[in-house]
Amino acid sequence: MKDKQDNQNQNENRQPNSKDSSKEKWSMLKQKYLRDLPDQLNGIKSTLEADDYSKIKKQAHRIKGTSGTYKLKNISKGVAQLEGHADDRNREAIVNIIHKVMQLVEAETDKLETHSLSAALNSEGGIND
Amino acid sequence: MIDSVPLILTVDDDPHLLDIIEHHVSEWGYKHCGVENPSQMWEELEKTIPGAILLDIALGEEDGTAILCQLKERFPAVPVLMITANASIEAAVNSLKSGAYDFICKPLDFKRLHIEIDKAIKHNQLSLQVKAFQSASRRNDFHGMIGRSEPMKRVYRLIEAVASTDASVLLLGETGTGKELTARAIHECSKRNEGPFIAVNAPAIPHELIESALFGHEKGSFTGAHQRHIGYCEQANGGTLFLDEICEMNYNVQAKLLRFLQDHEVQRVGAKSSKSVDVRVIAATNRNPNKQIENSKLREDFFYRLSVVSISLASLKERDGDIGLLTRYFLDLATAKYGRGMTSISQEAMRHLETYDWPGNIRQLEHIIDQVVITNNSNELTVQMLPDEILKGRYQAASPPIGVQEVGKAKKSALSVQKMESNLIKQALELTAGSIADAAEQLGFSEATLYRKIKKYGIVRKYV
Repeated sequence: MKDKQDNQNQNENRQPNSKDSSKEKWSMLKQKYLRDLPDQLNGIKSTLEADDYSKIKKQAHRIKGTSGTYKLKNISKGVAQLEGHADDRNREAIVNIIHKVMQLVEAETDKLETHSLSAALNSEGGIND
Repeated sequence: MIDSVPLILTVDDDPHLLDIIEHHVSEWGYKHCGVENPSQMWEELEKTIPGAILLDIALGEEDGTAILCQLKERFPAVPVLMITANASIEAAVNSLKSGAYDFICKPLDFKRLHIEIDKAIKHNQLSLQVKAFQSASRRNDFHGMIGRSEPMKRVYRLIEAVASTDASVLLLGETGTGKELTARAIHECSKRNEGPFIAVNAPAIPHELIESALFGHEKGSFTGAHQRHIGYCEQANGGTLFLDEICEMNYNVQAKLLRFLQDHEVQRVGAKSSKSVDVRVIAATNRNPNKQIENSKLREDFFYRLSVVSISLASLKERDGDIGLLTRYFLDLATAKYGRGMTSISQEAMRHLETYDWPGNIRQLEHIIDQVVITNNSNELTVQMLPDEILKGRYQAASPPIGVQEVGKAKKSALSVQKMESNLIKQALELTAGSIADAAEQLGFSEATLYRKIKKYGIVRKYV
């Protein structure tokens, strides 16, 4: 009887609840987005080579909205500045901001990966207990 | 397959944003489809009509507001929520002027988005229901009876003629031809229309209980009679008693009803005295009364007493031109009832409906339209959606005779319309937090009319 109950408790520990799995999914989507952001920022760099400032504005606009939605506030703010510099056709400021945003992307990626790793370790510990 | 979960269609050129919207929308219990450009959006709209659309204002090279205008032209009922990362008042005003349901800024606040999507879907369903209800009401030609064919015109004339008298009426017609609806129309046209209309379906009442059901009983008059019961004949006092399927009543009950027709007196089972009542009786059968008399299923004296006036109701196949009218009417009712956007019928589908025999008559047609609307989320009723029996052009004995459904399942059109109106008012009041002015505007009524209808249906305003 006790064994049966222990097994049941263990199973309950192993089963992620829907809130956990939702957070996990959110985290996965955010990681996927962060992995793709450098390509998008490099895309802006290429557009800058072609002096197409209106396209830069559109590219920045897209990143601003989506990064904000993923709660990447600093990245969203940085790209919003880039949008403004595109209006002013300020090449140097745009290059600087792309560089800064790249660093923010790296930092956010590290943060998220560390968080995911510790979450995974905690979860493994839970099973062994 | 029955599929009633609304679909949310999101149009945004960033696949990462589509991912995160899909994640949330699915958690809220909706289906989601994300597309990255307008051409994909139009393709999706060919397949299914969404409950709501989320549309980005800046779609690469394309202008979301121009797409919104095209959407409103082709799908005016579908609510469109505009999303943008540039929150300018001008953009918001332009979107709303072009018919957007609302305007939501990026970064998306998913709590707000959830509320807005829920509201948009409820609003859309209510608008569809109001539209369909208004359309159905306009077709309500004669006291809830639909039809302009010659046999129906003859029936309307007879109803008007007999309504002014208290004569008993016998309605003859196949199952599903609208006998109860006709009885109600006679009641509504008569001076008794303020009184009760009591419908009794004989086959639905066990033989041993029918006498007590019709005439009532006193407390303790038999085992199980725990309290006094007022029978249908007494309940109908001042109004009309409709006795359906009279040939299914046994001889003994027919004799008692005959006496009731003669002296208009009711004596409850176990009562010492009788009570005089003022009741008009309308009876109906789907059988041939003469044959039933021959087979000793119907008392001849009872038949003659009932059939002071008899009205024969034509079968649906005999009602030239009415199938189209009835199909449109039931389609409007069903789209309103189930919150669907099916507003048109293809010519080919209509041709099949018009050439079918309809052994279950109007009830079968209503049932099939309900079935098609429930199982298809499209804006047009096409021939592919029709059941095999209609496509083959004949009734299949293997399938259950739809017209012969158990009692209570048969929906009466006039009642459906009233129930639907009451439901629509309740929904509008819920959506507008009980505001009479706002609800009246949504429903297309004046405030006075809405007050009157709230009173008529006994609706309680919860939010005021």
